[in-house]
Amino acid sequence: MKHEPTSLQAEVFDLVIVGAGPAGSALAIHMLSRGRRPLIIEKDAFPRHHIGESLTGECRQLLAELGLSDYMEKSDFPVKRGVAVSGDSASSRFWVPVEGLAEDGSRFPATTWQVRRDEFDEQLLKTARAKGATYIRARCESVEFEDGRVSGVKISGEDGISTSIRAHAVADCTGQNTLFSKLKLTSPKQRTGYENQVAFYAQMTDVGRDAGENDGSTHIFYGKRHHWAWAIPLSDKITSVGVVLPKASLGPDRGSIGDIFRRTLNEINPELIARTENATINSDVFSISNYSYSVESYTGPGYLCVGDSHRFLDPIFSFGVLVALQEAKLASAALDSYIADPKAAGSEPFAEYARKVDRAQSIVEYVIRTFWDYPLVFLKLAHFSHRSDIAEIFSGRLYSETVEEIGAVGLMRDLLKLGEDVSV
Amino acid sequence: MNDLETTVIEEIRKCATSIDGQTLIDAETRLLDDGLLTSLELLELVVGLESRLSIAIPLEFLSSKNFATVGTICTMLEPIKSET
Repeated sequence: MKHEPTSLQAEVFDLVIVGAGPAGSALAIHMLSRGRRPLIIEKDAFPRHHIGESLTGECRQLLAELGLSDYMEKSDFPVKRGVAVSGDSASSRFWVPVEGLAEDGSRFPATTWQVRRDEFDEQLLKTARAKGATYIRARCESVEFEDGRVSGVKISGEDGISTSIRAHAVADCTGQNTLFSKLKLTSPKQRTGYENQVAFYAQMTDVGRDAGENDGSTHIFYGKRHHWAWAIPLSDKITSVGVVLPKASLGPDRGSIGDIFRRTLNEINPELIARTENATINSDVFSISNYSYSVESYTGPGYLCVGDSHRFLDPIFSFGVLVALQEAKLASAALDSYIADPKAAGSEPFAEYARKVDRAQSIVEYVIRTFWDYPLVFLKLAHFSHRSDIAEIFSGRLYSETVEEIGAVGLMRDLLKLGEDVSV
Repeated sequence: MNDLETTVIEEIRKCATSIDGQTLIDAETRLLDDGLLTSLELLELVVGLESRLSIAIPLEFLSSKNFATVGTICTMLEPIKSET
């Protein structure tokens, strides 16, 4: 049913979800399973192009909980069995398998998918709507408060008319748009040290792939610090290819986005050159910069942020969709409790949600920073001394209560702290 | 050339697939910049040195700067060896 904003004015929703990407649609589905009434607001028409196509192994279970197992199994999304990393020479290549984590803590070989985000995100939204989420194409202009708590949002529809929608709580699931930060509901976005990176990407045909059952796997090509590329199969013929490098390395005579993309493909890594020498660009070439940020305080009385809307560091390990789905699940529990009795919730009703989210995001940050700032240490931990630890982080313990007990977590944390102390 | 330098060069020769027995390696040879060692081979060198010298190299010492040459490796290893 197509809604106009004014038709929803008489209703009071349990939750307004701004953004219909994986975080928003997943949050809606979880809220519906708790008997709550969500309204999803989205400014863009779906399907729409989006980056971030590679899922982690943990996503399989999260998608099953959302009712998408059947869709995923029947889809033609390439099956991902692992990540191949090609280093600085032909002999520097290693394989990181996708693994699952059993309840007894043991790991087992697993698979996940590479997804065409336009289709995947659209299916998540369709699922949410089929389960009962109300959905409207509109732009969220502001969040409204009464007596110090969220009372709803003001939105503008396609007709441009501004309408107030009442709700007990609001969630920012706008991803890189970081709506609540723009509305100054959260603390300001902070620099992460990766904000000077820029990515150029496109879809290509005839990109070389691994043979056999690993033909659907992600391939990472490492050039040098902060210079890398990805190749993610999206179908039998199409591969998502991206290059990432510091803005400062572009130089004054950089040319067009397409020029930079083509040039960098031929510079970053010998294996990438070999795999793309006969490939053809099959889409526009896109670029994205300023994609790395962190918001320290992102919850309040009746509102919270989910996924990229409050923090994104670096795409190297494909955590994006995992974080969106996992935080949506955690947020639904917190929001459900809040909505049950907002007045009893206190001034920081989502502190526990933020604690769990910050813990997981901090560990993601340890892994990423160790990879970039101490690559030899990362290699040693991942391939020799703490293989199980690193594998556990990637396969499912990231959001567990015991994740900080993993030995490698403490080692990385202490090493990074030491580096900060030395540099002061 | 002292014993530690000799040990380090022996371990390098075990790891480096791009060189042969005739390749000259001395204290100033640039192991990474000149492509003698790949990143994975560098890891093998770390593990090999720890095993051979019965030491544990602190993580904060595992940097490309400390492993730039045989000389820098030995400078890094000396205090660790003397503590064991």
